[in-house]
Parts: sequence; structure tokens; C-alpha cells
Amino acid sequence: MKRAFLIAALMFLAAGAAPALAAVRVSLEVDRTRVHLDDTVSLVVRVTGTREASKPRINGLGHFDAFPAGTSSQFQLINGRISTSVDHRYQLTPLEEGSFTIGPATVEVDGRTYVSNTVDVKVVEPRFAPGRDEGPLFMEAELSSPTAYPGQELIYKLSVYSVHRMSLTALSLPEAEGISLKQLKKPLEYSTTLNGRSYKVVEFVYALTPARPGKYELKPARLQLTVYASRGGNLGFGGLLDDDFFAMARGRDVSLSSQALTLNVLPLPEEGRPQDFSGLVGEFSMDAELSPKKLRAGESATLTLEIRGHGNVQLIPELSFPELSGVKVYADQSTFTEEVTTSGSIGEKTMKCALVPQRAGRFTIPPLTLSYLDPDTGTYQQLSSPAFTLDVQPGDQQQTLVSGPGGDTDSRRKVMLVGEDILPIHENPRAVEPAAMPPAWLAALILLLPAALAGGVRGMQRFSRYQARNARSQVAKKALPKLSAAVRTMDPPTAEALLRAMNAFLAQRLVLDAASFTPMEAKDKLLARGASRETAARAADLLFALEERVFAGRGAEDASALADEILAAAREIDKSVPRNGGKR
Amino acid sequence: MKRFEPSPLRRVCLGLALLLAGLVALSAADTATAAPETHSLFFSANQAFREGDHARAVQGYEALVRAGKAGADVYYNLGNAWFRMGQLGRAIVNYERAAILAPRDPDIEYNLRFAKERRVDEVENPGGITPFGWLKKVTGREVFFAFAGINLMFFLVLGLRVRWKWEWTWYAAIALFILWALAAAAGGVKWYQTAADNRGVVVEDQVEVRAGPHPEDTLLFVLHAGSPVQVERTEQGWRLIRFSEDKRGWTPAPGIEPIRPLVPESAEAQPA
Repeated sequence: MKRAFLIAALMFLAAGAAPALAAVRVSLEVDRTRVHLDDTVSLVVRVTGTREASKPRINGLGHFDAFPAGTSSQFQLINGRISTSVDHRYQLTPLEEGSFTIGPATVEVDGRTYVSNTVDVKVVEPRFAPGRDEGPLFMEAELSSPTAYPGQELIYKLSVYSVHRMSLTALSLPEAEGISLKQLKKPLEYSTTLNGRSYKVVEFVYALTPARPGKYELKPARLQLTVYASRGGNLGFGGLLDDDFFAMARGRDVSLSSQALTLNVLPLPEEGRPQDFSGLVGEFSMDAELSPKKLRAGESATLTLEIRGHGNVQLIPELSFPELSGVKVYADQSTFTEEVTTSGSIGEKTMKCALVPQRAGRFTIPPLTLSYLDPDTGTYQQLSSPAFTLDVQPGDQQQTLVSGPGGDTDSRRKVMLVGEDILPIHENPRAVEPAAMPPAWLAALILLLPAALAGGVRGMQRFSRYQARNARSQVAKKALPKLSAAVRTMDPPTAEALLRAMNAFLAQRLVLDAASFTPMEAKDKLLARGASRETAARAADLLFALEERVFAGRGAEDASALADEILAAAREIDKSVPRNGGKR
Repeated sequence: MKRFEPSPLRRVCLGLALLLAGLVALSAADTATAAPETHSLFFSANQAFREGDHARAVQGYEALVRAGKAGADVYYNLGNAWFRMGQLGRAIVNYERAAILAPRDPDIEYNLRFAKERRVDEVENPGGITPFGWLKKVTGREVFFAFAGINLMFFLVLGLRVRWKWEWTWYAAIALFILWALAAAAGGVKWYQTAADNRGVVVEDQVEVRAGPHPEDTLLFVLHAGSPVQVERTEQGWRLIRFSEDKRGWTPAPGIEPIRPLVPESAEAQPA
């Protein structure tokens, strides 16, 4: 439910999004521009953008019998925009041969008049003799001309006529050596009336090009198709529903053949054949333009040449731009466009070149010519461009450099390789003095020497440190004997002398620079160097006792009682503290 | 009179400067100096080339190769002479050898590419981008001396730090160590690239590659002059080659010339 509502809302919004219809336009179309006198042509006048237009008035119908064939209208909603149109259909029967312009058609909408385009229709001789009845199903082959020149493009047309609805299965075209066929556009379907009978027609159009002169027999084209003919039953509604669609039609496979045709390909005329004739056959025109015609030396002018026409347009040649003394000519890549229509190939080739005058003066550009064969007259025609004059004023050097072919981006060209080869030999005599890798011994030396030197520096540093440590160790080793000797030589040993000797012993044994310690300092250092707590405390007590005597004014008194204790403590310290400064 | 006593730092700097000078002198002395007759041989080969006598030019350049006096330019000239003689495969082999010795020489690059474009066979595994692909643009000698320079700087800074603990020497030592490690890795890869280089080139107009090292073995495929192959091994006058992932087989040894060694074994056997 919600979804349906959403869709409805969207449709409403979409309708509301197009408050204004598209602008009113009128167009006029016919289903064919070349018809036979016994054909009928369908004409449609389409009025777009309104459904309120008046009935169209059509000019140029004086050469036709026109019958209204109904009106239809279309309504479209595309991208939120409403498009509406009304088609007015007519069947036209030509009354005489000739070329006629149909239109314009005019309609009036709210008091304003709208005008359509016009179309040209060529009416040719009747396809069939009057009174000839070809029956309800037949195929007709037609060649635009029974004679041609090599390279000329002819139109080969196959038309299938059927009173009943038909479905085409396979088409087999005539084949002949020296003849090529190329389909032009997809098959055209229309209705026509012949001898009072209404036919559905499918038309195949081919471009036929002969390559060589000679007489060619174009064999019949063969077509396989299915025709849906009525059984005659009409469901009991009389003539009301008497139509193929409602009739109980059944398919019947049928094979059709066209008639054979003869083509006479004439040799190219020898008389008056120009030197520059390239095999171009058809009808062509040429336009040429030079811009600008006045400029300064070093600037660039563009010569443009356009060749257009119909025929074997693929053979439109590349024209060579002239060599001019004092003018550099840079030809550009040409462009070619081809349009395939039911009346043949239409082509256009555009060639351009940049002209860069190198000096001041008046330069005349000679005409460029193009020859082709006009198949209608059988004569050669020559197209020629006008002779242009290029008026060149002196240019200043700077401008020449900037806007010349080297500096102008538009005229810059890709450098093309015109040749390739290897580069020449090298002749430097050092070629025979190869720079090889150094030999292994030298390579090893180069790589290891820096590391060896750095290692050597490091080793020397370590060695000197070792030496210093060793010297201190020697001193520490002699500390106890020195103390013993000092105590023995004291007569009598005083507290002052013992204190000095003890301090000296500790400094040497603990590898310290200081010459005296407080008892607490001595204890801390001994503990730090690995002495036991008892040893450290004993040493500190002894130092304290000695200091007490010294500071009490009894430093010179006999302290023999402490001397033995000092030696005993020193021996303990010497045992427990390592001689390398205490670093175990 | 006071005697000049250099400071320890000056002593270290002086020592390293002398070391550096010594290394430079040693490496310079390592570059072979050619004898006059070698130059004469080179000039006469060049003259033969200019006169269009390419066969004589080939003989001259190959004599230099056999004598161990061939630098990149000799191989390049030899490639040119072979090219002029229509020997596309031999030209490519010698351009490749020249490119090994002077990998950034534009003339060698151009002629090698020019010759390769004229190969008949389409190369099926032209190779891709590898992490150390740039090493192909430097020679082993260049990698070695780059490493030697970084090595010297690294140990110089380490040596300074032994005595002086300046802050910048720490950062310099770290940076140089990273460079040192990279250069050492590059050197290792370059060595591997050189040692594992088993490239070869088809030097005959056409060689037949068979399923086994016998002329009766099944013919697998045919290669044409200039096509690159990997030479897997050589046995009794036949080479086991690989052209692409799925094209591998045996072919007579003379049809394939390995790019390395730069002095071909057959050339070494001949008198200089």
C-alpha cells in the first residue's frame, strides 16, 4: 500500500515537475525522396509541443493527389518532462514526373503560425506498364543506370511487394566478378498502392560499384520469406474485423526471385583524361581558403582545402601543397568524413597546411587542382582552387622566434624518425684500462683497516687504564708492609704518628687520593670496598680512639697499646679488601 | 725552543687522513695501466671498424678481451662490429657485457635497446621490478667503494668516541651504522646478483631446443639470434637452457653464449 502510494506520489511530482510543455515545433517528413510515378508516398506532418494545433496546410501538393491517412497522437514522460505530439498522415500519389518541393506545412496554435521544413521529392517514370498486374507477392530489382564507368557508384535497389503481412528470412544477392555491393542503410518499409491494390513494401538499397569495363549480367536476387495469408475466416464479424491481425493467419514459406539485370560498364574515356586523374567518379566540388592573407614574416597562415561530393569518395586523393621559395609549408593530417545515404555515399575531405613565410614579400600560392569523371556527361572535370596571394610584412626577430613553427604550440609537430642506426664506436684510449675490482687482499685491507685502527685506539685506552690500575695495585700491595715498618720504627709510637700511618695505609690500600679520613668516612669506604662490618667498625673505632687522643692534647704520649691493635686491624683489612681498588 | 706536540685529536685526524690517502692511492694504483702495444691494438681495431673491415675489428677487440684489457668501451665497440657483421646475438652479448661494466652509459643503453628491438623472438618473461633492481645500474666496484667510504667514516667516528664522548658523534655513529648496514646488504645482493647471473644469448641465427642432450631427442622449440635465455648447466657440449617458465630444454653449446664470465672460456684458451 505504502509502495503504491509512493509510486503515485512520484508520478504526481513528475507531472508537476513539467509545468510547461516543450516549445511548439512542426516538421514534415516523407518516407522516400525518389518515387515512381505509379508509387504512393507517405507524408507525415508532426506537430510537437501541443495537441491544440489547427489542421496543417501543406504547400507544394499540386503535383500529387493527397489523401488523409489518419491522425495519431503521442504522449511521453521523459525525465520529468512531458512530450506530446500529433502526427497528421497523408498518402500522396504523384501525377507527373519531375522534381518537386513539398512544404512547408503551417499550423496555428493560439493565433500564432508555425512553419515546418520542406522536402524535395523526385518522381521518375512508372515502375510498371499501365494495367500490368504483378500479383499479391513479387520482388523487383532496379539499377539506377544501365551503363556506368569503372569506379562509379550505382544504386541497386530490391523492393519486395506483398499484399499480406510478411517476414523475411534470407536474401541472396547477385554476385559477379568485378562488381562490389555495399548495403546503404537498413531496409526501408512502407506501404504503397499499385493498380488500386495496397502493398506492404520492404526496400533494400545497395551501392554497386564496378571495377572494370565490360558487360555484366546481374543474376536474379533470391529471397526466402514467410507470408501470413488469411484463411478466409473472420470470426463471424463480417467485414468489421477483416484484417490480417484478427484473421486467423498462418505462415507460408515462399521463395522469391527478382528479374536479372544487365549492366554495361564503359571504359574510362581516353579523350581529355587529365594527368592527375585518380579514378574519382561522381560529382565533386572544392572550397579553398587562406587565412590570414596578410601577416608578418615568421607568422603562420593556414591554407584550407575542402573537397566534397558523392561517388567513390574513398578515392578523393591527398593533394600536394606547393613548395614555395621563402615559405615553409607544414602539411597537417587530413580529415575525411563519409555519410551513407539511400542515394549513395557522400564524402568530405579537409586538408590543411601551415604556411610560414621566412621573409617579407608577396607570395603567390598556385592553384591546386583535382580531376574527376562526371558519369552523367562522360567527360572529365577539373576543380581548381583560386591562386592566393600572401602579403608578408617584415617581422621583428623576437616575434619570429616566438610565433614561428618552433614556438607556436598549434604548429608544433611531432618529430618523426627518418632513419635508425646504432651509435658509433668509442675511441677513448682509457677503454683498454679497465677499472676492475681491487684484489682480495687489498679489498680486505681497505675494509678491515679502519676497524683495526678503531680497535687499536680502544685497546690502547684499555691498556693505559690497566696500567694505571696495576700501579695502584702495587701500591696497595705494599701498604701493609709499609705500615708495619712505620710502626716498628716508632719509638715510642705516639697517637699522632699512628694516626698518620693509619690514614696513609687506608689511602694506599683503598687506592684513594685523600690522605686523611674521619672514622665514619673510613668505615663507609671500607664497606664499599668489600670489608666486613666488623672489620670496618674496628678500623673506625681505632681511628676514633687515635683522634680522641690527638684532639685531647695527648697525641705525643705513648700509644703502644694501640699499635698492635692497629696492625691487627690492618692485616684484617688487607685480607678482606681486594687489591684492585675494591672491584672484585 | 718549545717542541711542537700535536694533541691526541690531531694525531687521530692525521692518522686517518694518511689512511684515507693510502687507500685512495692503492685503489688508483689498482687501475691497470695499458702498455703501448695495447693502445696500438685498440687504435688499429678502431681504424678497421671505420674502414668497414668489421671482421678485423672483431679480431682486434677480441684480442684485447683475451688479454684482460677490455673495459666497457671495448665490449661496446665489439658489439658494434658484430652488429655490422649481422651477428645480432653476438652484438647483444657484448653490449650486455659493456652494460655490466658501465651500466649508465647512454650509448651502450641505446645500442643494446636498438639491437634487442631487432630480435625475432618475443621475450616471454622480460622481468619485473625487484627491491634491489637499482643495483643493476651500479657496478660491483662502485658498491664496494661506497661501502668502503661508509666503513671508514663509521670507524672514524667510533674511534673518536673512544676518547671523546661528544654528543654529535653518537648521532653520527647511529646514522653511519644504518648506512653501513644498508651498504653491506647492497654489497651482498650485488655479489649474489653477479654470482647467480647465468644469462645467455642465442648467438646463432637459429637454434633448436630439444628435450635431451642428443640430436635425436624431441624438438621442443626453436630460438633465433639475440633471444635471452638462462643457462642452467652445460654438459658434454650441450647447454640446458630456460627461455621462459614453460620453455626449457637442451641445445648445442656453441649456439648459446653466456654473458658471464666477461672473458669467455673459449677466448681464454686462445693465445692473446
